[in-house]
Amino acid sequence: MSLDLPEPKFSISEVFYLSYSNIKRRFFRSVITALGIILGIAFMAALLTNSLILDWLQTGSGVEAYQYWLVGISLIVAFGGITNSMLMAVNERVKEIGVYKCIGGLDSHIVRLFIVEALLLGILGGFLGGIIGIGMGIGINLNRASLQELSVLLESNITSLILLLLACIVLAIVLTSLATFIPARRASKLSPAEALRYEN
Amino acid sequence: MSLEEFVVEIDDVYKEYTLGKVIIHALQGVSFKIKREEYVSIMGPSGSGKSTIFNAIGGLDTVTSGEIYIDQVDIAELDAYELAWLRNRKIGYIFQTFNLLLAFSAQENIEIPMVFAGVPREDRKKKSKEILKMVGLEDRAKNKPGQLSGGQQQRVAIARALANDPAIILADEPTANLDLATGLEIIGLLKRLNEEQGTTIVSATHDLKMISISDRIIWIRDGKVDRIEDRADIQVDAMT
Repeated sequence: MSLDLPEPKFSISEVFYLSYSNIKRRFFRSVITALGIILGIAFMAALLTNSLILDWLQTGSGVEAYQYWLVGISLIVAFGGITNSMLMAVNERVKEIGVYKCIGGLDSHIVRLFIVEALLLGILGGFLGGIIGIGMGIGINLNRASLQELSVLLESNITSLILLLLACIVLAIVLTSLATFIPARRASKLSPAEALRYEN
Repeated sequence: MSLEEFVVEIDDVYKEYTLGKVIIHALQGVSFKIKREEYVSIMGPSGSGKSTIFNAIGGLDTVTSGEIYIDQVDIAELDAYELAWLRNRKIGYIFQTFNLLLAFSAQENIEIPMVFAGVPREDRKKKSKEILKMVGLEDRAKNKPGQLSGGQQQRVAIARALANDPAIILADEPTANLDLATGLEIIGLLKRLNEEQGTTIVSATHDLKMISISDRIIWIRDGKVDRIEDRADIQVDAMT
């Protein structure tokens, strides 16, 4: 028996409003999650900036092998930190997913709500983390070159720095979205009764 | 049999699940029908299968075998989208623990089922205000669940259940987390909705206060229907 139903409507503005309300209510938790993202991204951005500056300064030896190792490790730290924060954040809200299902939310509605939250946190965390990290990367090179030298150097390479900041934001968005999508999708597939019973 | 007469029909429903290595036979061949505009209480001791029946009728969980019809629709044959539609439009749920969304105000909690139903914003605002008034909380529209008492939260939950004019309201122990007086208020509100709006109400409960207002009582024991009584010939069994 088919019910012959109309297409569901769930406009972007509704999704954003609901997601924004959720971040606001869980402000403290959201700040902790965002800090996890900022920390991971900042660590990575600082090391990358450092490598870039060393490269531009042409210190003779160029970029040494250990720099690549550090950047690799920082990527792993960022990946682990962000994924962990987001997985936890979804996992503690499975019951809430059950409530959304009971009042008629489609699996796709629920996943969209969580993804938009992740996007907002990812953009914010990626941007702040990138800014902080690049600042730190510049800061640790103040003993190698004078402030004046550095500012000339940075000015002529400003495009690279902007690209680095954009890369930070993109990486944060990709990691937060993926680490949200997978558990949110899994939880939204539970029957409402299972989701409501879920203990974390 | 008149097609329109029964809003809920469940026929020979079995539900088994495993708990560790033990197979639990939660429901063992339950059948009954509920008429439109009826107020039915499903009663029985803890662990008798009341909540399992609640979940089965509400399409919140699957059953092992048997058929369940809500408004003549066999819910076993619905896909995920159709089930969500059914939960959204045909059924309103009330829970022991209220299960409101804590990030949202009372009014927003009532609006969210309408958001999922695609109701335009203006209509949502208007409707949610009307329902809030109906449950006596018009001055609490902007309050979040954390700022409301248990009884008020349950009223919001009832209002949310009414949002899309469901064919049936399902309540699972709606008074179990409330004190005596508040519980009576909630029961009174449900009865008023039943009488004034003609809303069909099915309540799983072991609250004996429900007996005097129910049209019929379905007694469940060990996953089976023990007996079905009309209000007229109810004898309160002290054991249950």
